[in-house]
Amino acid sequence: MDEISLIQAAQKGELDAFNRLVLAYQDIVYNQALRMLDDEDTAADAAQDAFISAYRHIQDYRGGSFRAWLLRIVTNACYDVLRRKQRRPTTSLEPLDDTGEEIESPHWLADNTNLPEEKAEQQELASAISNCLQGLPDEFRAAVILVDVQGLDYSEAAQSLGKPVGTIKSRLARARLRLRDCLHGFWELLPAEFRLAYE
Amino acid sequence: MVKRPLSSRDLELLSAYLDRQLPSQEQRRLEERLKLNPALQNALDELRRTRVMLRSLPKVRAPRNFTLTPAMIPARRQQPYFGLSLNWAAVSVLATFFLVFFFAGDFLGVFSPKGTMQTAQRPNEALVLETAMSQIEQQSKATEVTQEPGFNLPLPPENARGMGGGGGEGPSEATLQAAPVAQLTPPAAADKFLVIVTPTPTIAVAQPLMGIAAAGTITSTMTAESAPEAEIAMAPATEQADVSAQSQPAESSPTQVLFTPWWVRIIEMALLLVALGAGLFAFTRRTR
Repeated sequence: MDEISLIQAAQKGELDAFNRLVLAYQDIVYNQALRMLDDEDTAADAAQDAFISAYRHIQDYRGGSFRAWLLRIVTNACYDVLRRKQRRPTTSLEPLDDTGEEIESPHWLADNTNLPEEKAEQQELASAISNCLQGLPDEFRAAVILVDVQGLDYSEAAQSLGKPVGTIKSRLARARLRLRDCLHGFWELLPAEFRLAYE
Repeated sequence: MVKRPLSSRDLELLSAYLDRQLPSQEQRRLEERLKLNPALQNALDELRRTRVMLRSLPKVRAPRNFTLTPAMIPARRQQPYFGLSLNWAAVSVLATFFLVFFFAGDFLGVFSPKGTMQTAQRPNEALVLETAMSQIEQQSKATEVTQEPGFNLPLPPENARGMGGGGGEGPSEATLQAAPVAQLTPPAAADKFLVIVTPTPTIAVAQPLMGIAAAGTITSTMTAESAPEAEIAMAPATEQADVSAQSQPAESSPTQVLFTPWWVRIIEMALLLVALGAGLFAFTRRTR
């Protein structure tokens, strides 16, 4: 069945048809949540909530990019999580060491000593980018993730965020400027194939 | 090296240029500027590097399948409209359309019962009644006039319309006083005729007209026998009419009004409520 048939079947209440759509889009939805929230468990919860919400409101889908429609739902779910975090800052459950300091989560301070150098550099760059993304305002972060990380074009990104294309252009430009300053110096960590493609 | 800050306009131009989102004319202009401005070119290069770094972020696979089970889905509410999903925006548009239709019909008098009029005591007002006019024309064509001595009411021309009453072919000495409107009925006999008067200004004219709305209001049907004793006050006629005007004091006189049935008002109110309610509902659902 093609995507349109699956969507129509899901709109009639067929859960199996909707689950096939879930399997097709779960990676991109999870990535959006992960880059927005920078936490794997929270991102998984947000992605699951987004799919439940998408099924409940599948009748509201009126055509256009289904991918953009799903990304809009998950982005809104991430905004809700971020607002809740701002209202009620959570206490970290990370274990404490002998001095009372938190032991950071593994992905940020992974032990790279046994990894090939290139892979270690990639990991360090990915961590630096994630850190810089978290320093952006939520709306800027969403725009730059949709366009530069997920690869959407401006119109699809506008549909995902429910904003005009002009707003997307503006937010994207300002996000890139801030990231330029934040990532200054990490260029050398970029894998060779990316640097060669650029140069 | 101190970097000159980019203007927000240039920043957006460079960012859109990177994504090939600039119109061709603007793109050419920017490329000309980039050739002449090394600082601008440097800024573009830095933005390009930033974009490359962002695109190097790996796509992470979902840690598990997010497929749904029936237990995850809350039971849907009972829909009172038997499973039909309503497009509330369309409902609002449809209700607005019908509301406009009813308002237009109300304004044009479509819903007023035909042939029946009520009077109101409103001085100095005259209303043109198109439906009544058409009836008058039909009746005047079908009616033969019986003329009494000294009472000369010439027939109007075939295509005379109710403007000013200048259709008479000659002066007439008779005048009739305006009488309250009874009812318009088609003439049953050849000796009946329809006289048209205007309430105000009440001007007696030497050339009464029959079958033509002087100022467009109907006041009475009269028989030929009663004609000599009545006087018609005619509205000012056209320039062709030979009018001997005799102004009479304006009195409060009956004015014809149309009335809207109560059920039309109720329908209009209901449509207004539906249009506003459905539109508001559609708007709130959309912004959710």
